[in-house]
Amino acid sequence: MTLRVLLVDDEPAIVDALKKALRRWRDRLEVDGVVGGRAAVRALDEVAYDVVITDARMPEVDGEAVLTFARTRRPATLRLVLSGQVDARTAHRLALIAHQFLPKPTTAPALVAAIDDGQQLLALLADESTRAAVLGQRSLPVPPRVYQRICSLCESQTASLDAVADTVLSEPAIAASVLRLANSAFYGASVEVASVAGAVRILGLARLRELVLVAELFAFDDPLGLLDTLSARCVQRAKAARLLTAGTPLTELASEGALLSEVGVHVLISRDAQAYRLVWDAHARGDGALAALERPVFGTTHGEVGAVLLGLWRLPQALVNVVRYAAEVPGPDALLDARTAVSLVVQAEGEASLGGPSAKTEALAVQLGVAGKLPALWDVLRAPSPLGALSREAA
Amino acid sequence: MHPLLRRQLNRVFKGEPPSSPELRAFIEAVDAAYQGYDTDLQLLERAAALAARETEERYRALQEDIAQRQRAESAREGFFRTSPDMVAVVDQSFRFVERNDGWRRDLGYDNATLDRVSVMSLIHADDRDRVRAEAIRVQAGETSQAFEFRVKHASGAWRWLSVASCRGHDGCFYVVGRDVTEQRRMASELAQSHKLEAVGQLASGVAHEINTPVQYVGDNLDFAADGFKQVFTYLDAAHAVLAPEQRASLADLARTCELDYFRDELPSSLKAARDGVRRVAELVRALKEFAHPDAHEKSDADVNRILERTITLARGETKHVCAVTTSLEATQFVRAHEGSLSQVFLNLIVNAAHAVEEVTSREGRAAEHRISVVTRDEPGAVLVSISDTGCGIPDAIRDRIFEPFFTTKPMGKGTGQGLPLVRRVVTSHGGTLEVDSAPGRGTTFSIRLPCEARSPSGVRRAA
Repeated sequence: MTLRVLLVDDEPAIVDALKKALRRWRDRLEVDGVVGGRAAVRALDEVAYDVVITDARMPEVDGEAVLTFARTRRPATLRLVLSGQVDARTAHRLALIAHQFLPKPTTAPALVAAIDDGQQLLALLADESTRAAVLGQRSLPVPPRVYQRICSLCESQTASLDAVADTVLSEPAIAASVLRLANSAFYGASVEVASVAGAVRILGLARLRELVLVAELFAFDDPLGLLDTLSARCVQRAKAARLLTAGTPLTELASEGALLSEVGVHVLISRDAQAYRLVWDAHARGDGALAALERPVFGTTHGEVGAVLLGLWRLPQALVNVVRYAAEVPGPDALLDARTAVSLVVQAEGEASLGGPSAKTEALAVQLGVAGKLPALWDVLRAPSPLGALSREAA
Repeated sequence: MHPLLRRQLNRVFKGEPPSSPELRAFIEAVDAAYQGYDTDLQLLERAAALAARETEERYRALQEDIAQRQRAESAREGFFRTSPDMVAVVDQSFRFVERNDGWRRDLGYDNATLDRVSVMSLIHADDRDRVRAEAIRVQAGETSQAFEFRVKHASGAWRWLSVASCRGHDGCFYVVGRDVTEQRRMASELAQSHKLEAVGQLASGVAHEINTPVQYVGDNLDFAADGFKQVFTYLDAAHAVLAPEQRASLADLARTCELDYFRDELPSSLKAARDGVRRVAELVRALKEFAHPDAHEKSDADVNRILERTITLARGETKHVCAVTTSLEATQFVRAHEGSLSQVFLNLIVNAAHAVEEVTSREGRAAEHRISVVTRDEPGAVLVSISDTGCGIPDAIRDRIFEPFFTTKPMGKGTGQGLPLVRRVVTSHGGTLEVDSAPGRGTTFSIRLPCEARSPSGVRRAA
């Protein structure tokens, strides 16, 4: 199957030369080139491209406008930016609307590799409309309360980086966005950053302020009213995962993975809120694990969808894998790592209301060598949810 | 009659005044003399009294005057002594007639030396003519303000003085001087940072302009390489199906067109062009990142990445001198101002190149020299060492290389600000700086930058 690719630049020589350089892959890529944003919008309107690659700085209709149009008109299109020079604010906006940024100049093989990376991730999702939901996801919803808190923290002149990192860690959507920016090539990231504290330190307060205060970078829609519940649950998971891996180098990977373990839920909700309402109600009634209930309805799970989303956002592979497999039971010879630790937490979570771990959970804890931590794990999972604290604060 | 005369007459004549007219006339004459004398005496007495009063008044005024002068003198003494500036009376041969302690304090010489020397002998040779010309202006009655020149500190360092002076008594100069070395350093640093900012803005604009052609030149080269490969594939296939006599008839044309030569050389020449484009791109990126560190606050920085791009930028200084080898093994991050660290590394690499060049320009044998850049993790720190096999630093000036404006380089090549900046930046990052140098063998600068226990748990992305 060939992919349809649209190249956009205001410099005809670039469009022309890049098209020629990509001819080597003509059995896989069918490349169209247009000059300028206006022509790009027309082309996107007419053709369902699989990939759009655009320059950022163009007269009249710029790269951001092209990608914004692409996201609404063609949500299933992979959006790449190929640009030489952007200012910080444009970088922020582009980093959150483009799936990947390639600094200009780049080479044709690097461009093809970027397209392949995206396609490999999307191959995890069989269903076209789920793919569109993931690709079209601009950002994750944030509870307004949390958003306000982080805004005031960022505006304060005395906030320390650690305090900001702690607040970021209290909300999965913000944590994901911060990791996404820190890993974006817009900032010339030379490292993969899996830790929120590390991401906060790499970005620095000035950029975080910029990020947070550009309010449209976050969504506040919450059609099923699940936002607070999901946030609180994932924060609790992160705390539990940190407990299980305390003293190992896995702590941050495990806790950040646990924190992001349910970001995929929001994608499934935006795909079909009504269907998801039924899934959630069944889960809340105790009919089964979320993933098991999602698959028959959506053909996928929030773990897979979340992994594809975070993978497209260029979060480190290790972290993406924790999210992808969080709801799966580790194999009989699995050892303790970030992935299995989070799996244990998710499994135990369902049993927390039952008073004690099941034999299966106990066996897994023994297998991973953390049986001694089970009582403490239970304390964390049965503690009043952080949501209660939030509501009290609001009152 | 005068009472004294009457008493005498009574005693001599027992109350019987002489009746002789001559005697009477004589007595009258004596009386007149007595009277006259008395009058004179009174006048004299009055004059004496007046004089005494006047003397006393004058004396009192003088006393007052002296007290006033003493007060003025004491004030002058006070100002002289407590002034934070260097204050002096200097004679026409520029020796001290009088001076306050500021000179000893700021220039570091003992008083015996200062008593002996001419100030002119302490002034930088390049500044002496200017100072003499200024002295002539002052002698002509003009007042000199904020006149700046270099004076040698007892340590051998040059200090910039800003001096005000006017003509004094007996052809002396009254001089007030102030050490402005630090202000000059800050001003030049500010100018430097403004310059960098301007370069940065320019670089950003130029980068965009250069990157566009670089992008399509590279793509076109790729396309051409692909095309040539296809064309030759076709030619070879066509050649294979030709009849022997057809081949022979084409052989001449193939020779004329240098077909074999093109087949051999085109791939490598296209590859060389591609490499050239890649290097232009690297250079533009390095320049942009160096000149425009976008954050003004510290962030977690990767010294290896900073070093790599600094080496790219310094290539112009190093490539004709000797090879630069790297062994960048540090994995920890440091909290740093990337821009400042870039400047530190650039200074050290350029200095290393100059040190090697000094040797190779005399002895040649560039292949035996190198600049090596090493980074390594140490407990709680990252070590960055930049070594060269150059001329080394003579022991005599080892202690002075970090002084502002100290330079051994010819006019126009060194500003004497590189190493002071290096030390200041390293110190402001809580780091340490060591110099190990053997004259004739080379120099190693070792910088240790602390890294906090909490590092981002990241792995370096493959390039």
